[in-house]
Amino acid sequence: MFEGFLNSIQGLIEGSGFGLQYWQNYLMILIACVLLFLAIVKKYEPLLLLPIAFGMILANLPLAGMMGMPTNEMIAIPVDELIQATGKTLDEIRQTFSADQINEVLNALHPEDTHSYPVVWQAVQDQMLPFWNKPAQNGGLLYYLYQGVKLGIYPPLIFLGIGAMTDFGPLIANPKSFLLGAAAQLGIFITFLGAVLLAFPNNEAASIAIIGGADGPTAIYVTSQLAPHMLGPIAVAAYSYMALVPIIQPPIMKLLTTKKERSVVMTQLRPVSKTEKIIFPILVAIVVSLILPSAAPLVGMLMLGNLFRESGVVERLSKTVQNELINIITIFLGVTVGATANGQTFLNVKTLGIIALGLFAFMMGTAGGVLFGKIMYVATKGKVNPLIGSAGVSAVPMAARVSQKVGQKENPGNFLLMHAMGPNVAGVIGSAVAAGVLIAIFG
Amino acid sequence: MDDALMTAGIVIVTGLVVVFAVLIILIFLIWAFGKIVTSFTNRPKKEEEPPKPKEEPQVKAVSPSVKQAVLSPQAEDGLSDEIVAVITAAVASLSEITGVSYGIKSIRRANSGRPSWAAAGLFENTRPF
Repeated sequence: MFEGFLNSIQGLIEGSGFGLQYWQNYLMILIACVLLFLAIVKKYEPLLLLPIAFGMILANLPLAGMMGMPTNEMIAIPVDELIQATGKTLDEIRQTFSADQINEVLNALHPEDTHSYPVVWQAVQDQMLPFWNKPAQNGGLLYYLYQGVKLGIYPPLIFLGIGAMTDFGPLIANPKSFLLGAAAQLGIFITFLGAVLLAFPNNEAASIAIIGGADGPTAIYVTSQLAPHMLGPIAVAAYSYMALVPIIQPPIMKLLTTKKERSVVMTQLRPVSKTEKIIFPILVAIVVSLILPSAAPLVGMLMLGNLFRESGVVERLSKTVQNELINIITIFLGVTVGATANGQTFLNVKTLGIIALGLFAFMMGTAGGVLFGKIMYVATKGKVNPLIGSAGVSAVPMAARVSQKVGQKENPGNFLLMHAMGPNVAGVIGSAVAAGVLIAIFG
Repeated sequence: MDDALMTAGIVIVTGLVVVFAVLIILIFLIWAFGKIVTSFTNRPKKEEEPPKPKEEPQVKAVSPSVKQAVLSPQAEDGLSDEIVAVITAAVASLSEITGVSYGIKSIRRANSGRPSWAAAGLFENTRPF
């Protein structure tokens, strides 16, 4: 009896998740718990880090099958029998038989099977291999939610919400800020070179490089198009570094600027009329989409959201995309991206390379923005504070706040926040354009 | 590797050129549009005679006995009696705190780059950093 009890317990253990786990899954669950700690206790990008971390836990739980793909049953289609029974060639069947006629023939041959005849007919039409994938089991919950990431649906919807939350006024008041937003994309392209030197294929190098744009949805969008198998590590790296902007950027900003440059007080921005704010999203969407169609999903949705906000005639839609829609998509995006971080695929040397290159991309982007800020400082004879250049890496509004904080340390009466918001939102457009370039080249 | 580096070089140059080109086009368009909007907004104002700027109100109050006499006519120039009273009260409360007596000689708008309330608002919004 005791032996029987032990056997039952052993059977239970072997059948439980503990019996089937790989060590990588345990490690991933541990990493996910650290990320949860950072999100909940340290409040590092909690809105995304929390669902991502929990998605990682769910994906690494055994037997739950949350990310399981639907399974198919391979069924042979008796094309040869069809040819024998009809006495015609496949070409003749294709040209003369309707789907119903084929159904009749097949039913007569195999009365015990009732398959999906339109599919059989399609196979005959296409002269495909005589097999039909009959769905046998549905996929896991997260597998279906993940299709929004895989098909590039969630990132543009996130951009719709971001557009509705963004005030482009500082950028319209000082359009030169666009240059800083462009310069900060330097990190993307320098990192692309670094990744190529580390023997990453071009599509993977482009996906890693886009981390330098410091824009989570853009990074996810590009990776889902170019290297979907790397989505987990790239998304985790992108959002982690975005959360660490206040730690990564200030040393670079201080290193590249003098005390005098950091102390520059910028003149107040001109007021921007409502007409300009309404025309801006329409103009940007048309111009960018015409020049770079591959950037249209991101820029188009960003500008649509902004038009909701600025037009003032669709307040309900504006509120919905700013709150309910973006929150729902954030949950789906976070959990499913986290769920791609399966231990067996996540824990490898490549991931370490992605994390290191992601940090490099962030630093290069910051340096590019600050250095271009210095050029503008010289060109304007000291009217531009180079610190606002670092905000060109997107990461709205954290990067702009960092510019404000570093500037105020040198001069407590200096308020750079609104000036930094110009390059900050220009960086969002800039990184979407850079993403469009990479997709156009490697997509 | 040479081919890979060549491709990387092409991507870097193409990418930076396209990003800068697109954003420079946007700069030009927004700048031009801003000019047009500004010119349209300013047009009706040009037809009207611009009002002459009023001189800064000067309020002198050297002693309480003469305050009323001095304040009233000058307050009509720009500051109401209530505003003068509020400012005087603020100064008086400061006298109580510091123990030093202050006399108001004039009330003049301080010439700072940013309005005090705007500065206070900015400071409040950026204080967490």
